Amino acid sequence: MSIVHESVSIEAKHVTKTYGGRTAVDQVTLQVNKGEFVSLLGPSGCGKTTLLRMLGGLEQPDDGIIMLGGQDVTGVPAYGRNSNMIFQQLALFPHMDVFNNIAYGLKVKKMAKAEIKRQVHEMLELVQLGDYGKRAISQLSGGQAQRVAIARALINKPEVLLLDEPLSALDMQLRLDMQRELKRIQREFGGTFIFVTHDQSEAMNMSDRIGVMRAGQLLQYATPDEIYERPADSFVAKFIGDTNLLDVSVVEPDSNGIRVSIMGRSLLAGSNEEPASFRPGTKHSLSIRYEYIRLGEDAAHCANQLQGRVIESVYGGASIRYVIETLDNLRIQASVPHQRGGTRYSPGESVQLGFDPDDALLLADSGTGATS
Amino acid sequence: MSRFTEKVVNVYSSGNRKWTTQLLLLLPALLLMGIVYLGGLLIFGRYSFDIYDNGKLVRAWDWSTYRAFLTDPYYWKLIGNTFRIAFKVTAWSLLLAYPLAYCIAGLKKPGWKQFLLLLTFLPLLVSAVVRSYGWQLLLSKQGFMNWVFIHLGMTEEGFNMMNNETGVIIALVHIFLPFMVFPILNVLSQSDASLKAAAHDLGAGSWRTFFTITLPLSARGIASGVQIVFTLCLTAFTTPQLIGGGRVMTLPVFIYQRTLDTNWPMAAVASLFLLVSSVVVSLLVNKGAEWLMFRRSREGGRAHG
Repeated sequence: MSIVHESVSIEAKHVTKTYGGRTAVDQVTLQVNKGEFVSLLGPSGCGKTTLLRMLGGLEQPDDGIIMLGGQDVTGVPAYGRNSNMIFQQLALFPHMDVFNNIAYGLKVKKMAKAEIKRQVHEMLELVQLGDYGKRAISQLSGGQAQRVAIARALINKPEVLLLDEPLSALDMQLRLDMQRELKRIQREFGGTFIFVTHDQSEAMNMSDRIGVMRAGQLLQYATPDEIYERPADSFVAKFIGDTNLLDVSVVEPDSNGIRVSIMGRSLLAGSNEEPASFRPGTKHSLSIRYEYIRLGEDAAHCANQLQGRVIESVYGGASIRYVIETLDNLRIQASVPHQRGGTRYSPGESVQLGFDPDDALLLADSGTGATS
Repeated sequence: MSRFTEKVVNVYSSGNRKWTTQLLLLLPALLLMGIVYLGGLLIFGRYSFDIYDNGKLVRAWDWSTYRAFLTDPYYWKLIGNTFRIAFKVTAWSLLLAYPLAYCIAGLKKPGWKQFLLLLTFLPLLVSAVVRSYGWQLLLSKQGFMNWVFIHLGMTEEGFNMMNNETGVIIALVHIFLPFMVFPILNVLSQSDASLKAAAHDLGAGSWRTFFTITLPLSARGIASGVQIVFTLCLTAFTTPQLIGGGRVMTLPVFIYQRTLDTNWPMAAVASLFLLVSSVVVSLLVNKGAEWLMFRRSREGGRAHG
């Protein structure tokens, strides 16, 4: 996004990895700038962890190049790279205390004892575990173990810190705390973080940029708002945030957008791409986010209008979520902001619903499974 | 060993079971241990105070046999022999077993794993006597091993490997190897692969990772293996007797000979000595394992505060 030249911290070029005939990572190209917090997001088995392990040197790509700090490190094993990883199971050494876990990397580098001591205590301060140096690993709580793992990796001053779903074992509250904590540490430390997760809200909360992966491919790599507002395809739209996906066929490009039809009803849709690139008759997904659907009077000046009946209404405090069935038997979900005393529809009630072409994106179908 | 029993007890004690039920469950084992083991020990303990006088047993309460056993240089040489053989066998077993266990633990294909496990286990399926005779065929002056050595040009008339310590050590290592492999294999296959990955990631190469992570974390397995093999060696009888051909004198062989000429007091004293030293060795090995495991782990090498 930014036009200012930023130096690249780590880069993957057309990286491919196959396991027994199955392609785990397929031609992924990814660039992460210095100081950036990037999340790799996708369902389990999408190849995000494999990609991360290749960036860290724990796996070697079958094809493609990995550049770290401007140097080609393809084929260099993990212990020869200036990157560090935080593992999903944390992998703290159970036979060492906190101090020696954190000091491990420095001891390998044969640093002087006094210097090791100073740096470890500095790290313990950074992760707010000041007096915990002599604790055994088994005496730590989940959150403390996280912090030790972070300190153990960061003390090596890595060019890039790779995080493999380290928060997935924590309960909700601790997880939110650790998200904030990670961001704080990254701010204070100033490093480049690459974070693997399957939790879209985690990715949205923390990242400067998100790479969405599926079946080994990097579908989209962009800022959180770009991904949310202009998803590359129907899978990305569905995976990040809540959206209605309708199978439509293109009728023709229009001056206001693209005219599409579903069940014989004509709708006007918008697109990220040139309207002319959608050929008449082709099938596509139409993505309308829950909160872009307007109900009742708000729907009156929308370009697309439908008549429906409320099936379900779920009260969510700040908003109410409706499931609405249109006259053409389309199921549409809407999330409407709510304030005390505002309009509420109850199940069975008829309701007018509408949306604008700009809020309805015509997307390339990402293939099988995305719209089911 | 005690740690192992502790673990087993923790797994199976459900807490809500009544103590009478617990006792009933324990009773058969307790009775067997009580009568056979403790009873035998007590009888032997009593014998140890008797006096052996020219082929006759005299009832007494006397320390003379103890004094004789512990002060005579001949017996100390015997004890030294026994411990030296046990030590050598344990060391060789460990040296052979660790790489084997490491290899088996690293195998991904279950078929290969099964095959190697079976191969390791095989010596235990053959009776000690049969196995010892087998070794006699291999180790004797005209045996297969010497045939190989002569053909390799390593010796002209063959090594002496029968009726001496070398043969006994070779045969004992063969028999006791599985007892070293299994405990080590057990801890190695339980250890977390991500710990090794983490060490690599922190800059440690393969050797450093092995010595700082894998080896300390397998110390418990090594300790168990060493305890088992060492005590089995101290008490081994068949192999030293058959392969040693009477020329390798160890405590068990000595005890056997004393019982033959009905010198019960001396047999009893030697047996009790063997028992006590086995226990002491086990305790020392446990301490050693602890040291091996935690030596690097405390800040500046100081004790845990």
